[in-house]
Parts: sequence; C-alpha cells; structure tokens
Amino acid sequence: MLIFILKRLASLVPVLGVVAVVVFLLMHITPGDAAAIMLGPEASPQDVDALRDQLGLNDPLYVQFFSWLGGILTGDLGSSPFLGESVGKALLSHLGPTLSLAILAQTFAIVVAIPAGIIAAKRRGTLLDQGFMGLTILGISVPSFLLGLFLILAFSVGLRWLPVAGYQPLSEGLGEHLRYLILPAIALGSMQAALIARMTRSSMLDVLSTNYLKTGKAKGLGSFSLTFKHAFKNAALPVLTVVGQTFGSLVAGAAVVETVFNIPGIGQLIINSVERRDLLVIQGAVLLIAVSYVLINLVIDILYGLLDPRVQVR
Amino acid sequence: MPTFTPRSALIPSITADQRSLRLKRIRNNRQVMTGGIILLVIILVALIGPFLSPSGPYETDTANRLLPPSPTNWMGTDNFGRDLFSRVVSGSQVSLVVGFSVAIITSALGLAIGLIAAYYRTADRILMRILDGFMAFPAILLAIAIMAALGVQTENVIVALSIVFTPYVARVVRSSALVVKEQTYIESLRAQGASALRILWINMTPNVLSPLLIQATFIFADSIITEAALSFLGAGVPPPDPSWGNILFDGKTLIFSAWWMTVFPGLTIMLAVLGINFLGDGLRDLLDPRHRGTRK
Amino acid sequence: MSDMTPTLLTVNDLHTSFKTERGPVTAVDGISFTVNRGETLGVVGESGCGKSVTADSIMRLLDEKETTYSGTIMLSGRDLLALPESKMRQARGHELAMIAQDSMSSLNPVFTIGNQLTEAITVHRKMSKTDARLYAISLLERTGVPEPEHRMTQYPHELSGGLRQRVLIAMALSGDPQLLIADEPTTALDVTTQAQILTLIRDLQATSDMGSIIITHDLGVVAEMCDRVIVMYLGEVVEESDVDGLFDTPKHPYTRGLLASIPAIDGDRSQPLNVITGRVPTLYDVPPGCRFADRCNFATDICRTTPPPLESVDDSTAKVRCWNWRSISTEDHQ
Repeated sequence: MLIFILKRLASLVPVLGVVAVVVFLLMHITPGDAAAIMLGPEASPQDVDALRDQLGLNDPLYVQFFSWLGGILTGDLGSSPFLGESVGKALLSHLGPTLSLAILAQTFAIVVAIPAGIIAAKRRGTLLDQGFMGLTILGISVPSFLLGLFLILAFSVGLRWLPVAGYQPLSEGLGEHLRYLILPAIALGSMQAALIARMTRSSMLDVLSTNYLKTGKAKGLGSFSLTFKHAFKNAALPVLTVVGQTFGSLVAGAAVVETVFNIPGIGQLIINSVERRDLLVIQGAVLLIAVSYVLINLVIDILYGLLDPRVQVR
Repeated sequence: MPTFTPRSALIPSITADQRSLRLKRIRNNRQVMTGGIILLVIILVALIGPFLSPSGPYETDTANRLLPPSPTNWMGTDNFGRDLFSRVVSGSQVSLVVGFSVAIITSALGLAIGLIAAYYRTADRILMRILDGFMAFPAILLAIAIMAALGVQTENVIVALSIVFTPYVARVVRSSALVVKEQTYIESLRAQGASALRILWINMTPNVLSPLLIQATFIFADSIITEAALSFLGAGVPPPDPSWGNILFDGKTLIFSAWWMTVFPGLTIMLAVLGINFLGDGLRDLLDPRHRGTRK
Repeated sequence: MSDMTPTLLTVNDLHTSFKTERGPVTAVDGISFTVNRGETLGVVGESGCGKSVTADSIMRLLDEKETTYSGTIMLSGRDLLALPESKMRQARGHELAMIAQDSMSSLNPVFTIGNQLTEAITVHRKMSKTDARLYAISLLERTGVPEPEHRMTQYPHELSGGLRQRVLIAMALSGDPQLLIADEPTTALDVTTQAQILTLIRDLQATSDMGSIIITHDLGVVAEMCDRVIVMYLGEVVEESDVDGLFDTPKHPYTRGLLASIPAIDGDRSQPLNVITGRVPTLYDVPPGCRFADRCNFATDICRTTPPPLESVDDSTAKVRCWNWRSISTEDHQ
C-alpha cells in the first residue's frame, strides 16, 4: 500500500514540472514586453525598466525559470504592482470564498447525483429513467455561468426567494453564508452532478448484471445489501474517477460562477487581473489551481487503490 | 487515467444480427438527425439572419433602449438600443467560426501528436508527460491565462482554445492508434519494409478517424461554451463585437429590467450545445457501438 | 424440519420466458423432472438449451420484471414459484444453494474471501463474528482449501481457479442446503482440478442426504457423478434416464448423436469424427414440429409437422420425446 502511494507521488513530479514550465512560459508568450504590458501604455520608460529589473526579465530565460521556481518553493510568488501586496497574500485572502463554493457545489453534486443514478439504474427503462436521462443531458449541455444566470432570473428576480449576488463569509453566520451560496453552488455543481449521475447509472447497470451479484442473490441476500454493499462498492470505482475528472471543471467553473454572483474568490481575482493585465497574479493563481488539481487527482487515485484491491497489483 | 477503446469497436461487427443493427441505426440516426438539423438551422440563421433583421448589430439607437421583444425587434433591444436579434445572429457567426476553427485545428494537431505518440515509444513518454501537464489546468483557466498574455482579441480566442483542447484530442487519437498498432497486420507491414509515414498515414489514420470525429464534435461544443464564457468574463471577444457571452455580460447588470438580454442568448447557447451534443452522442453510437459512458 | 419422503424436488411443467426487444422468448418450454434425496441428477445439453435458465428458475434468480414463470417447483412440499420474495430469499442459500459456473466472475472482486464467506453464513444463522469466522474456516477445510486462515484474508483474484471453485462450494454448503445445484462446476478448470472438484462434490454428498443437480455439457462428468440424467434441447427435455441406461441404450437421436461424437480412445483414426450436422436454432425460430428434426438422421414427415410428446419407455422410469425412437433402437450404435 505504501509503495503504491509512493509510486503515485513519484509520478507527480514530471507532471508538476510541466505545469511549472507552462505557467512560467505564460509570462513570456506575451507579444511585446511583459513589463510594458503590465504597466500599460502610459507608463514611463523608466518605470518599465525598473519593473523589468525587479522581475528579473533581463536575465537569460533559464536563469529566470530557476529563480522563479526557487521562489515558488520558498513560498514567494512575487509582488503585484497593482495590489501592492505579495501575490501569495492576495491568493490566500481570496481562497476562502472559492473553497466554500467548491465544497458546497461538490457536495451538492454527489448527494444529488449518486442516489439518482442508483435509482435510475434499478428502474431502467421506466419513465423515471427516461426523465433522468433527459435531465442529465440538459445538465451537461448548460454551462455553469448560464445556469447561474437562469437561476438568478428564476429565483431572485422571479420568485425573490434568494439574493441576486454577493457573499457573506462564515463569520456572519452559517445561514447567511449558505443563503448567498446556494444558487452559485447549484449552478456550479450541476454539470458535475449530471456527469456523476450518468456514470453512476451506467456503472450500476454494469454491476447489476454481473455473476457475483447473482451469487449474492443465490446466497439469500436481500435487495438492500445487494445494491448498497455489493453493487455499489464496485460501481463506485468509475464514479470516483468521474468525480476526479470533473473536479477540474468545478474549479474552473468557480472562476466564472464567482463573476456571475460577485463572490470575492480566486476566480474573481483572476478575472480582475486579466483586465489589469496583472500577469503575476494570474501566474500565481493558475499555478495554485493546477497544483491543487493534480493533488486532488492523486488523492482520488489513492482512494481508488484503497477501494479496488486489484489496482495495487499493477 | 487511460481511456479505453475496446478492440472490437474498430473491427466491424460481422456477427451482429442484421435486423437489430438496422433498428439501432435508425434509432440513433434520430439523434444524429435531430442534432444535425439543429446545427444546420443555426448555420442557416447565421448566414441569412443579417438579411432578415431590421438593423445591424452595431447600430445604436438610444431612443429605443431596453425594449422588450416586439414585432420590430424580435428579441428586444439592448442597453444601447441595438437590436438584440441581429446581435445574437452575429454572435452565432462568431461562435460557429470559432467552434469550427478550433475543431479543425485541434483535430489536425491532435491527430499528428497522437499518432506520433502511439507509434514512437520514446516520443510517447515525453509527449504524454507534456499532455498530462497541460491537462492539469482546467480548460477555461488556461484559456483565460493565455488570453491575458496574448491580448483580448477574437483571433487569440481561437489560438487559446486550440492550445487548451489539443491535448484531449491527442489523447483520444493515441488510445485508438495504440489499439490498432497492437494488431498484427501492422507488424507484417513493418516486416515488409513499409515506411513509418506510410503506416501512420495510410493504415492507422483511417482507424482512428471515427473516435477523432466524435471527439472533434464534442470539442466544437466545448469551444462554443468556452468562448461564450471567455467573452462573458471580458477575456474573449472584445466589445462592441457581438458574442453570445458579451450579450450575457451586458444583460447581467440589467437582469431585473431586461430579462430578454439573458434569456435569448442563453437559450441559443443551450440549443446550439444540445444540438451538437446530440450529434456527437449519435455519431458515437453509430460509429462506435460498444462504447458507453461519459465523454473525454 | 424436512419430511422424509425420498422426493426432494419436483419440477412440473415449468415454462420460463423473457421479454426481449424482439418479443417474448421462452427459454424453458414445459420441462418436468424430480430429484430425490441423496441422488444426483445430471442436466445435459448444448449452450442455449435452457439448462442454466432452469437452474436460475429453480432459485428464482432471474429479474422478475422481465421474466414470467408458469408451472410448479415443489421443494419439500412448498411451491417455490408461489412463494413471496421474502420467503424465497430465506430459502436461497439455506434450503437450496447454487454453485455458479465461472468462479472468477462469481465472486465479488472487492471483498475478501472471508468477508463473503462469513456473509453467507450469517445470512442464515445468528452467529457472532468470531464464531462465523471459525465456521467459515472449517468449511474451507472441508472443501479442501489449504491454509484456510490465510485464504480468509485474500481476494478472489489472488486465488487459483480451483481454489475459487472450492470457495464457491464452501459458500454453497454453509447453509446446509437440501438441494445443491452446480452449474457447469468444472468447465473453467483444467483436467486435474476437474477431477478433484468432482471427487469433492461426490464425497460431500455421500456424507449427507443432500440432493444435487449437476448441469453440464460434458458427458464424462455425467458418467462420473450422476445417478439419473435428463437431456435438454432447445428448452425441452428430450430424454430422461438412469445413467447406465443412457450410456448403454440411448434412445433419442440427439442423445445418440452426443454419445457418438465422443471420439473413442481406441477408435479408428482414419475415420472422420462423428458430428451432429447443423446448428441449434435460435429461440426466436422454434421449428413447428420436433425441434431436432432438421438435424436428425431419422426424421420422418410427422417429425417436421407435429411436436412429439414426452413418453415413458415401457416399464422403466425412462422417458423419450421422439416419434421414431422404437424403430431407431433396433439399429446398432457405435
């Protein structure tokens, strides 16, 4: 087991390496001078030069890369000339809302999708199942920001049940916190819910027709035990994979959904930085997200290995 | 996570029962038909629409700001008095052009990379690591970052999306190419001295075309969504050029007073994406009958 | 609490049909047979003849939304087909048990052997976990599994095919069944292991008065293990006999064909192998008369138009479903 984990960790290194290179290159594919772009067309040549020096842009490329890498590993992501503070600090202060949103959306997705998928599988072919399939197709086809806008139209403008936009941190109380996050979480989590639900259904269908389930029935096991103990543990494996794969879209979608609902998270930070062409912040944020995505996939991989004893053999 | 393409998917099913195969073909043709028709309608509207609408997408008319849908303005007007229908139609032109371009570019690049990775072991190792690295970024974030670096222009949207989506295509091509490669006729071709290029182009490519086509269809859909999202965020098609995403952005601040600015472009996006997804799903069932489950 | 009449199981006019995309299909079309205590009945036939479906019907394992049964299956005085599902569930694993065909796919890959075995035990008995575990180990010993304690912690994919089959047998025995159904118990095994498993089943049966049904296409297994045999073809019983009678004087042309197709070890190698020509028709195209007529060397006009009934053979308990069996019997067979 330990060897399995270590092996997986080792395979991370080259991927993270590529991630680092790509993020680094982002600064350098700008047509023109990065510093000039960052400061805008009105900046004086001296300011631009000063920034160039500060960012080390005059050094050869590989020197820049390694010093940047060194900085990252010690936690220094640079200082944004716009925000007047270190990139790291900016990221941290915006992390809270994004995490809340992502966790809520993920929870919503799993809690809704898995039971729905299991039921649809057990009632395959019925009207319920067909409705389920139709709903999931919709879920997959409607991008999260669009769903967010529609939800606002329906629930905030139309029914006036929920606030249009904004954010209340946990410190203001859980109820308030959730009230502002419900619509964004649903908007964000729906696509993932649809994908998870479909995968759960198809995975359950596969398992429900297996021989070992027949053996279980022949042993005299009841429907509950068969479905939730025997079938689900096997069906859970591909579902877990989908959860991992779609988590990326959750993180990405968070950026957009935050903009729709005015939530001061990392997503909004990135968008604002795009307008300002604050490349340092964008770099830092994208790096943070990519690394966490890789780490989450690692966790999923390990979980998979724990659930399915056959995987560790490979 | 490796994608699994069963060998049987590439070998035409000779033992399938004729009648049930035909039935299945028809049933799935309905999906392909529905999706195809929706797509065609959108293309038609994109081409003919400008001639149907009363005014152009850029013409402002401050006297007629924020009018709800009427016989003169089928979708109402926006906050500058521009006819929304013309803007939506214009936006569809942008979406279609971006979608097609990205689908074609990613297919070409993905095909090349995927084939090379499948055929040459050493190149494979390096390429796969690089692809994995790219796929570690959520698509839209990478697109945003690239747009920030390159500058917010419509052409750069195509570049950014192509960079973002090519790895997925390459992956799919590589998996199916690997399956083909394992088959003994490739070995015998090599034994006869056929050149790598010949093997890759003439023998392997036809077999990976089906999965490639299916993947390209889904990328088309994803490009439309991502372009709309980018434009919505201000990192895509720059205003005043119309894009479905732009219109949605304008509509957001006015969501209490002008629901049509959200509903119409929104429904159009949904329709387009649904249609393309149907097409892709149907194509997949048609071309790859044993394949089940989610995309990508 | 079993009544001590010799008859354990009576299947009477069982029909089992499924709903399919192309209409209803009757996989078992009116079969009847009995199994007595301590007796082994063999069910022989090619794939698709309905033998597995028969076993699944007795255990009622099929999806009842898509399957219709008719007829009766009497086990110790109760009609299994008439039982509510809750009672049937109690019977499964306890009064009747089944050993499935493919041991690899018949065991849940994500649970240990111990887990699956103790589960089988505790379904039918109230036992503490430790007691169940000990009982499980003793079952494994009984079925000849070496290092039983170690096996309990292993996963199915870590065991060889023969061991897995023994585990399946142990699981089946855990409830002390009166009837054991073994569906192709040796098909997935190599010859040596086959012999071991058959010996095991025979020994286990000798020490109890468990009745068993062995489903197989392998006539060698039938010769080894069975007291009586029924031969199935396309959902019907075409011949029923005691085992010696079947091999000495087969009556139905299909049975004769099956026996003739076994190459004799001392046979003439220059002669081509005897095969039954043609293929089994599908259940969608059931022929109007005798179902075997197309492939039968002895078919006459009546065979193609009217399905023959299952009739008893003179004074014996044997039965045949053939119009011409009397005239065929007077010929020699290889």
